[in-house]
Amino acid sequence: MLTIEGLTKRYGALVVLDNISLTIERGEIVSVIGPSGGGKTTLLRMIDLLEPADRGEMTLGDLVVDLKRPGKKTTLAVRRRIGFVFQQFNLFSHRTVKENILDALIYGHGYAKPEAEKRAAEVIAMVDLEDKTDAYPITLSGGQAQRAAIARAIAPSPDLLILDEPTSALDPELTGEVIAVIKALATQGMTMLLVTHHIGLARELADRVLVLDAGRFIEEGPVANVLEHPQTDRTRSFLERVRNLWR
Amino acid sequence: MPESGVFFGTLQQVLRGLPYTLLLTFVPLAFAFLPGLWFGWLRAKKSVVGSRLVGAYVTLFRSLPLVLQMLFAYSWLPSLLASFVRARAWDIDVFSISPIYYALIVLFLNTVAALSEVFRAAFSAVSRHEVEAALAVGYKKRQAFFRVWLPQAVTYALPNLASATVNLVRQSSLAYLMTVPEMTARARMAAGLTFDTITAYAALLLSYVVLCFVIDTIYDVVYARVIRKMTGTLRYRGT
Repeated sequence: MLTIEGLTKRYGALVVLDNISLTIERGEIVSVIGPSGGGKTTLLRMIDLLEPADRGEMTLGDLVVDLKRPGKKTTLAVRRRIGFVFQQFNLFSHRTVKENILDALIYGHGYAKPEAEKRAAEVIAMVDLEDKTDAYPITLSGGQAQRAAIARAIAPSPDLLILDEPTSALDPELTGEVIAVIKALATQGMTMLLVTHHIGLARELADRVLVLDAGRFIEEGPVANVLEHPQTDRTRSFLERVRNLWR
Repeated sequence: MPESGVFFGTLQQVLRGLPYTLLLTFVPLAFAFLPGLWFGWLRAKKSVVGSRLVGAYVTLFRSLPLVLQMLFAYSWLPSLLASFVRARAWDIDVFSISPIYYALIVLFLNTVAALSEVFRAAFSAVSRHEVEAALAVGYKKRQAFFRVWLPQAVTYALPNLASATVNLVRQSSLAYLMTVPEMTARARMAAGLTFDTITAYAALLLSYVVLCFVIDTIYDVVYARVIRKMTGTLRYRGT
């Protein structure tokens, strides 16, 4: 459903992504792990066309995208097929939980008001935030805010859901409620690309794990293989350092 | 102590200048709002050319004393205009144009500079991540600007907008140099008649204090309302 070929991104002399290729099948959950500064977030931003790449081509369903110069129309089409969950939630702070979702549907996806209302109620129930429907983001806990952000991202039924360290900005006791929502989405067959430091989450959910380090995938394969029998020293030492996040 | 009769008589004279003071405040403010907003946005998004040009403009007007600008405009603009009109053989008597227009132009240009700084700060205060999130959920750039960036920026601008407005009230006093009959000019006239300078200036002082207090209060009330609506809680604390 998604393929990327030859994705390269430099910031000045620093090569952040070095000729990356990636394929994700429909219904698959792919997790990207790796040390900070390895290029994980940049990779996700390139896929959602939030930043231009230096080189690279992507196909998303029937869309063929030049990642360097995607063009306005294609950019909009790609973003409307992808749901993006940010580490810092990034809810619209002047809008309530429900308005955040309605706005995304109405202005981002051209829904009519009644359909948007119906869909918003559905996703709010899905993330268990009925009691916070009319709350403003500033009044929410981190876990509630992230669940609201997930609801906003999945409301338009995206083909692919990208999650950028969805639990990293949360207090440890609040990660559980967000993880529960992500797991529920996984059982519904949502295609996901998940960047996380939470190895336990990757192990539980992902069909496939990729290790991104210094702009290259240094390891790739089924979860059990990569996590239990890493082939490279770099992966081994990375997994060792984040061992406390395995559970 | 001055007699209260003299004081109130003088105050009445001063208040006859109030319409001019209000005119000199709110007309430049109204006209400067959109240019200031636009300039502030160019500065906040760091557009290369726009930001530099606006920056130079702001620096220029911040570094010129308003008195100097007023005197310059009053003595130079009419003669410039006159030679322009003469060159085209138009039948307009430039020197019969009310000086209030020159004062309005000077205040307008200064207010554009002031507001572009106000809005630059306000636009910068909005989280760029929220604007990006809007793009990620499928907004066009224009929608992200009008639905996420602008509404929050205008809210954040309100307290500084209050300062800018009060500043403008005070700056408008310099229009007396151009013989515009606003409050300061009226006070000087009254002082000239009664020879009671202290009383005249006391009445003027009181007028400015009350006027600025009223303007500040209006902004405070509006800001508190908007913030309460925006956040769902009253997080506002008066200054």
